[in-house]
Amino acid sequence: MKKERRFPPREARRLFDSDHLTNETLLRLLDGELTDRETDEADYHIQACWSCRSRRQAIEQGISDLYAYQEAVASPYLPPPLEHRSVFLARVDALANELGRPSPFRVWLNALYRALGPGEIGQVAWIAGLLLLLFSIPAAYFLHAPAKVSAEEILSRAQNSENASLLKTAEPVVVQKLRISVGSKTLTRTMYRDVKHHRTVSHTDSNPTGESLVRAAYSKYSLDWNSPLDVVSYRRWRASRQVHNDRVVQTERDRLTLQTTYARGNIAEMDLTVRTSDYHAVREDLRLRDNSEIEIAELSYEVVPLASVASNIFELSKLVGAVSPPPIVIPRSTHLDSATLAIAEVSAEVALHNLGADLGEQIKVSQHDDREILVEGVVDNDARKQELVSTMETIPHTRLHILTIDEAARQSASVSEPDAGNPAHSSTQQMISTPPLLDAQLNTRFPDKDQRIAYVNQALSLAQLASARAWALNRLADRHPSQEVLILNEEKRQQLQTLLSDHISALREDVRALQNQLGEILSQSSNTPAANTSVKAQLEAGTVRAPDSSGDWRDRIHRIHSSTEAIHEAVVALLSSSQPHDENDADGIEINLRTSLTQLDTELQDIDQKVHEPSLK
Amino acid sequence: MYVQLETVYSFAHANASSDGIPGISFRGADDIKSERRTDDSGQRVVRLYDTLRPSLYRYLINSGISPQDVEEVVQESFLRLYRHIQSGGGDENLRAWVYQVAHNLSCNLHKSRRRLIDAPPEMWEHLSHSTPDSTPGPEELLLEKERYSRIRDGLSKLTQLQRDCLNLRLEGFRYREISEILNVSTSTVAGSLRNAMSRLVKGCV
Ligand SMILES: [Zn+2]
Repeated sequence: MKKERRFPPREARRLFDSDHLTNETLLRLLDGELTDRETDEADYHIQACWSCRSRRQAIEQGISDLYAYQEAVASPYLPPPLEHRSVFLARVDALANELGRPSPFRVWLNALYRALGPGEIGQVAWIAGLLLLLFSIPAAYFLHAPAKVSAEEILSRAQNSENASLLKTAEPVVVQKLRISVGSKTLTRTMYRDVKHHRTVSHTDSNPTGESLVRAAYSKYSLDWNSPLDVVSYRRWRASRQVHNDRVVQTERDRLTLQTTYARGNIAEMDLTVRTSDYHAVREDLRLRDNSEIEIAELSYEVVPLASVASNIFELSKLVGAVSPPPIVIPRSTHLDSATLAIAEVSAEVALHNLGADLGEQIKVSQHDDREILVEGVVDNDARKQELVSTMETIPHTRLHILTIDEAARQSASVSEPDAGNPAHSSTQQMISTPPLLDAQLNTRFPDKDQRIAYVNQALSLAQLASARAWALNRLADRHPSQEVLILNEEKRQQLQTLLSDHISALREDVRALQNQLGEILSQSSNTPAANTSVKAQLEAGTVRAPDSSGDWRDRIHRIHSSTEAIHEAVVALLSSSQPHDENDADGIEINLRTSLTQLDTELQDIDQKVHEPSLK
Repeated sequence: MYVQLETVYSFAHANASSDGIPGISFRGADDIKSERRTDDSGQRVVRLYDTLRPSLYRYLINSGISPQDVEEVVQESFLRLYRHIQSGGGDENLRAWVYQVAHNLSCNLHKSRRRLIDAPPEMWEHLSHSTPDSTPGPEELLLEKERYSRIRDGLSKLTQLQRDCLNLRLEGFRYREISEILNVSTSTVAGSLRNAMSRLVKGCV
């Protein structure tokens, strides 16, 4: 039998790639989608060629794996439930009536009568069918009326809902009961959260082992044990991530779920479910990169006045939350080998990164006496401190010395000096007084004062964010000289790479955003020869040159850091200067700024590849 | 088998069922004949519903439609099929016709309610307990689980079109049929399947 040719003639389609059959040819051959002649030709080659034969076999195996997988996915739902069938028959019937034709349901019913003899069954089936039809209307409605709420809307409404629930009481204590499942382990946890005084206390129904297993999973994925289902911390956490995709889904009639997948990091997907009635967050599902899952579901939520709670309930929390010793007791006296320390350091850095604590917060990681990793610094408040402590305390060989601002003020003598190079605290204050260099352009572009301020603030914060990123990168480069990287194990080296590349891609985004933002105001024709000024000189010194692929990644990061700093300074000078500048500087600074931004972008792209190299040293 | 494939179907109006494709049919002035046909088409639709429902379920679940929506998509598809037949639509390859409508309906769902392409927890549950009939040892189960994880990861990296092509191919549709259901060219189908398989198969780059 001659098959008609269904594809373009052979000349247009290559069966072979150099000497072997292409994957497409192999697949088409398996699918019976080649012409007779092509089939003969391909078969002839396969008989002679082991390579193509084994590739064909691999594809066949892949197909049967895929088939088995799809079957397994669908099998819990098969066979389809029988009760829907009567709904369908009723709907066909209704449609037939609507179209003005005799009803097939009647026909089917008649057939049933004939088969079973007269009886009540028809009426019962009718009523059942109609009832089921009514129940199916909501489903039909949603099918045609998709819910339209944005991710941001859900989060801000959820946060408002949380805040609103607290406003009703003067000294609110949230009593929350949660079911937490990690893999097959499930426990119920009751939490008391004293909002005003930042105190949290909780107990679980599980034995200590069960609880510590769950807590270990929590800290492994850098989750905050003390604020589960807390929209504010989720938003903060989310802000430090690269969201891959957001999708809002109506999971049940009165539930909306924000499904978010993340491009990087341990957590592949985080789904937050809220009640549609009041946007109260009721559930969190996490899918981790290793495909394990964590589920947090709220069983009850109540806000009560502090006075109604037993007065000593929070006394324990100070012990539990703030200074509880790490569950694993590590001998601190012995000296550790440098590999163990280097590994612990990367773990600490990753944990800090996941908490968003490596961008400008005054937290320093260092090695102490060849014995342990010291994580020290000052944070805003007790809640943040507890967040850090609960996450960091499970990292081996790590000592924590974290104080709140209040605590630090009290014992100001004993706190180690916060890192001097920290940019986040250095620049914001020094503005106003003298007009910025681009004052005229700003006034022309944004005649409205509020708009102008908003624009400048946005640009400044982008520049500052970029600077904080570059600073974090720079510190990583300083903390990990080649010999330290070489002794890391594979896992930690990869974590370090992820950490670097996280910062690099975030910095790239910041730089792009800054470029866009500045594009609105920078004149398109500023090509006057630049005067030699302080900022310009700095820009040139820091200017990224054509990337040479041989260089050490640390050198590049140093260069990136100083360019970013220079850019930051230029932005401040152009948009909100406080230091006196010569008017003529503007053009020069502007040109250099533009070039630097472009070159920085190139360099970042280049180093992004560099840090992914498997042989990172 | 192949003969059927050579027929050229008109899918252009498949989704706009009520104004369907003008029939060449024997729908005449003859009332009795017309009524007979109506009864026939109702029963025919119900029969097709019974036959195709399990595979449509599998297809829709694997396309990421949440289980509670599947039945609605299935029923809506067959109701449209009924209209299609009633208005004298063509009889050829109704199976592909139904899949196309179901596909279009699930695309509408896609933006609002579609789940991530992911195995339901029940399946992993099932995999973590050994099944008595096949009695695979723990190692086989582990292997199976690993293989499934690999496929799941592979699938999650595919484009929507690649997944659609794969799902329809798994339902036994030929490239030409897939191209009509998805309204793309056959070479696009072939290319999508090739790329999808390259991602899923180890050592097939
Ligand atoms: Zn070959």
